[in-house]
Amino acid sequence: MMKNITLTLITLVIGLSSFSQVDTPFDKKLFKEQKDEFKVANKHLEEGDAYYMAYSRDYRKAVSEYLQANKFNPNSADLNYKIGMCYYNFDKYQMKQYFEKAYSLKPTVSNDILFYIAISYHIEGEWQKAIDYYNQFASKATAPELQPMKTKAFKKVQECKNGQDLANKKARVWIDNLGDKVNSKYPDYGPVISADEAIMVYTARRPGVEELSPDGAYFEDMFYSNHVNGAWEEGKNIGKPLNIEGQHDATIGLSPDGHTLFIYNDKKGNGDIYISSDEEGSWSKPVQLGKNINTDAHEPDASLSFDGKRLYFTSDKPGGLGAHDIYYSDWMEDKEKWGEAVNIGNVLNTPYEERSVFIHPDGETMYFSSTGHNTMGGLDLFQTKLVDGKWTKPVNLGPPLNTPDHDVQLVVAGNGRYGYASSYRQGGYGEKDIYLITFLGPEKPPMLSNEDNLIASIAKPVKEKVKEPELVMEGSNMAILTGIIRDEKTKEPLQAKVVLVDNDKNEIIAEFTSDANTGKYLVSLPAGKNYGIAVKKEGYLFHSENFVIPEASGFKEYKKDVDLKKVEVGQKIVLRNIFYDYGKYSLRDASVNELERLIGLLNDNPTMRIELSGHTDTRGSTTDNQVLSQNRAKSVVDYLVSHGINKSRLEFAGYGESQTLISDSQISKMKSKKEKEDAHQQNRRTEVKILKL
Amino acid sequence: MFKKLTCLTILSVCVISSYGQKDSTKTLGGGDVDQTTMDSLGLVNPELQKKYNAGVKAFTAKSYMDAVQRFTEVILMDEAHVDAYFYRGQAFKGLSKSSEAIADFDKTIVLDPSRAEAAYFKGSILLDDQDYENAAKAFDKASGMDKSSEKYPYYKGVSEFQMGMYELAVKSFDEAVKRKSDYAYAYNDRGSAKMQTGDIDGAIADYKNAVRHDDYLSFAYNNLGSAYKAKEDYKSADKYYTEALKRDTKYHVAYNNRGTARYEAGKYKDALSDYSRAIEINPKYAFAYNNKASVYIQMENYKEAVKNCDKALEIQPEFMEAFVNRGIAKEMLKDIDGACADWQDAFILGSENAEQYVNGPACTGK
Repeated sequence: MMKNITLTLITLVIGLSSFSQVDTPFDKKLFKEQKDEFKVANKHLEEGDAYYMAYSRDYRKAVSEYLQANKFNPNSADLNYKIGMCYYNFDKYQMKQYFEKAYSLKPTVSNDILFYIAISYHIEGEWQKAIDYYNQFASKATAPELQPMKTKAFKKVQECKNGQDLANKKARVWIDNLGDKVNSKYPDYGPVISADEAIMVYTARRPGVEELSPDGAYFEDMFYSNHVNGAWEEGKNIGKPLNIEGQHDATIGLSPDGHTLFIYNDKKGNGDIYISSDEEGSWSKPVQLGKNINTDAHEPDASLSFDGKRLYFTSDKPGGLGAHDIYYSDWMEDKEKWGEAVNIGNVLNTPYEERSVFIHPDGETMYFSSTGHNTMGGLDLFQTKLVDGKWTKPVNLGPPLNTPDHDVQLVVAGNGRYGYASSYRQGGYGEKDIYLITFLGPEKPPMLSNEDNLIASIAKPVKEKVKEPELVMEGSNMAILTGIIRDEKTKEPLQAKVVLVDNDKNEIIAEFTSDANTGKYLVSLPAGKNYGIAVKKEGYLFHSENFVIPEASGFKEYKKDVDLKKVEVGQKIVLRNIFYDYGKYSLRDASVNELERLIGLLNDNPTMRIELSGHTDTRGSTTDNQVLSQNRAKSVVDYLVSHGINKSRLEFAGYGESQTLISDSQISKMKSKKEKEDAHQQNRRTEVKILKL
Repeated sequence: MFKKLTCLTILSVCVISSYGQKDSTKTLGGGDVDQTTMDSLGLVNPELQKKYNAGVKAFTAKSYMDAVQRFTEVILMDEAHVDAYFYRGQAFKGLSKSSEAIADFDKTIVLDPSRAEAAYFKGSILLDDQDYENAAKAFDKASGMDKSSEKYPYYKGVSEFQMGMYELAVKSFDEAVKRKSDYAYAYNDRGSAKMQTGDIDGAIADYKNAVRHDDYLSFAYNNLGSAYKAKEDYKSADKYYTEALKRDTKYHVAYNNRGTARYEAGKYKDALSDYSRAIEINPKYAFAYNNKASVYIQMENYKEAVKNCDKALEIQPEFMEAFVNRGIAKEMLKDIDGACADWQDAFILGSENAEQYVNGPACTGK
């Protein structure tokens, strides 16, 4: 009997051993000894199939059932293939083992199996293995129905070669999870920020008032978080009217000043761009952008230029280069609507997807994602620069920002140092999370120390200094001007208009509005211009500032709080955007906008009488300064008279150096030449004083 | 008489000179100068003869104070006594009294314009005092007085090298090897001067000549390695540093240099091992600690990099490169404040890169 038991065991072991290497379909004839277990497993298989085949295709639920069936019979090629396909649709990093097993059990399990094995290696960055499998697939794919997939395989081979090339061009970045104040175990993604990183709006699919959407997850809602004392506060649901129950509401763009939000809405079924404004502390009801932007096609992305006059967006409408392309539209001031959309051209657009366009507040750097160009797989993030009016060839941002899978959206703060993106990464809080990207700039090479015994007769070694490698620090060339606008006396915050003027061209570049509750404002100033900035509010005297931001000046942040003065007798304002040539009194063309504002003030107050006074610094002859200041004040008066202001309303005086704002003794105590020059500049001014209302 | 005087001078110089390449084995001759010589020198005054001999005895015994006193007594008795000035000058040199020694050598030259060694000794004092310009002048004078000696133009070249006048130095070393065609030191130093002018191939040829004439010059092999490293030929650099180490197994400088060649070739583990060996030989060798830190930065082991920079800075508190490197490692460890503080220190010490880092986005937060 003992002999028989031994024989049976040996047979069983041999049987199991050979059984584990061959395809074993779910056929009850093969599981006669395990009838009950087979029944349970087969039920899981059937339920999995139901989810797998359903119109809405719930792969998560399908795979959950399939894995139960697979526990009972791990050697079904067909089941392994199906599990692989489920994972392909929501977690590609899990699929390889199942596709490989399916192929090893039955190489003919599906005529596309080699393609999916190739993708499994591709997604893990195993470039050469992926290439080999894609090529194997292509060489065997003779059936006509496989031709599109074969074409795809050739592109994938190129993507793998790009991956091999980019592997050594790693971006110098840190990628840090923003933490549980912003992220949750649910998907959190699509961050958009103001240029100064004061506010972030993002999309999340979390439980709350929302029910589940048809795809089994919660509907998208928009959340916001404020950046306070260097940390992001807890994300809060942005609420109505932006979030609507029972529909997806997602952010796609935020203006640099944080007051205009772009929203993606699919309620018409084709995906359109909507806009909402921060009005007196609350968001307005989203309004669909006009027909020049939204079409019957899909418009899923939008980004507004720093001056609010150009909108970049994507669309897959006919007439493009293929799939989604990047377009732009200019704001038509006279018609108060967005102009006709223009395709940005084939330097950026390809026959493949271009998505997630983001224009940096410096006005010359654009980030977008694409499945074209030299992507290493899926959508990769690219950067391009506007040089002499043309966009440069896009540069792949490389790993670790880009992965073989989709890398969709990147927004970058005005300082160029920090960016925000969302992705699914190990160690996160679950699903997609939002990450802070810190751009470290060019590599900092370590410095070696060498010495040689150069002079034979000198025992003491002579130190040889290693020459430092040259380095070009890249960075944003722009400035951000922020501050609070208040009433001079009550210090209450004011919602005022901030007008940005290009003094050299005498053009209004943009108009902004300060926040009604806080009085805060933010203006982006790309480098290379002489800016005039006027703050206006009805019932108040305007306030003007002048900023000259030289080319290649790097990133600077200016803070300027403005206390507006009520229009009252005795009040004074300094006209900071009145310009004269050195030592002369004729007005330069760059002064026109400031003078027009002054005319506006006088026209708004028809009985107002004013005194215009000229002031110089204390350098040069006192007599010359007196004459010059008087002539300069008179030039302004002459201009006003020639533009229709009655002479009887105007007085002028030249005070020379007699009424300096900063005394010589104060200036002499200043340390730097620049501080002293700035002080002299403050003293040289044209002032307006209200004499009568 | 003149012949005998020269002979005595050369004999004395051979004994007294400690500046030459090789130690002499000759001695002064056992104390008193013999009577025949005294007679021929005209030292007929027995008192003078006695004092002079006492001076020589004291000098030979390295009793320089005593020697100075004796030779001074001779000079008081005979103010044109050229040898008394010459040897008193050397006694002053022994006492590190540079200006007194130089005055005596000057007087010697005035009394005997053919006494090249006096100009040479004056030059060697000035060279030690790092007055390279006057040293070069003194060696030039010696070289003009005696056109057969190779060491005068050689040390002129050394002085010019120290002044950074490399092309002039090359010419002086040319003259030295013209006078002595197997002068290994001059070949080595001419190679070093050529390196400074950017003539790396010329330098390599000279260093090779140096080791051809003296195969034991480990530093010439080391310099040869550095010349190949400058040409980015790291394989040859490695080879010659290894030759240097075969000749001097405790040559920590060559270990450090071979480490940097290996670093440049991307052989980080080998570089690390060389730096560790350099430290083993010389535990106070800050360069090797800093270079170890550079390797750790490349290997992304930033904590070890910081530790090694700490050590380098403990040994050499104003070590600019170590501040730069520690800043780099700290930045990668996300210790931004620490990084910026280190770069600020490096900037103060003169690093241009650190200046950029201090003013860059990491430190300004913008």
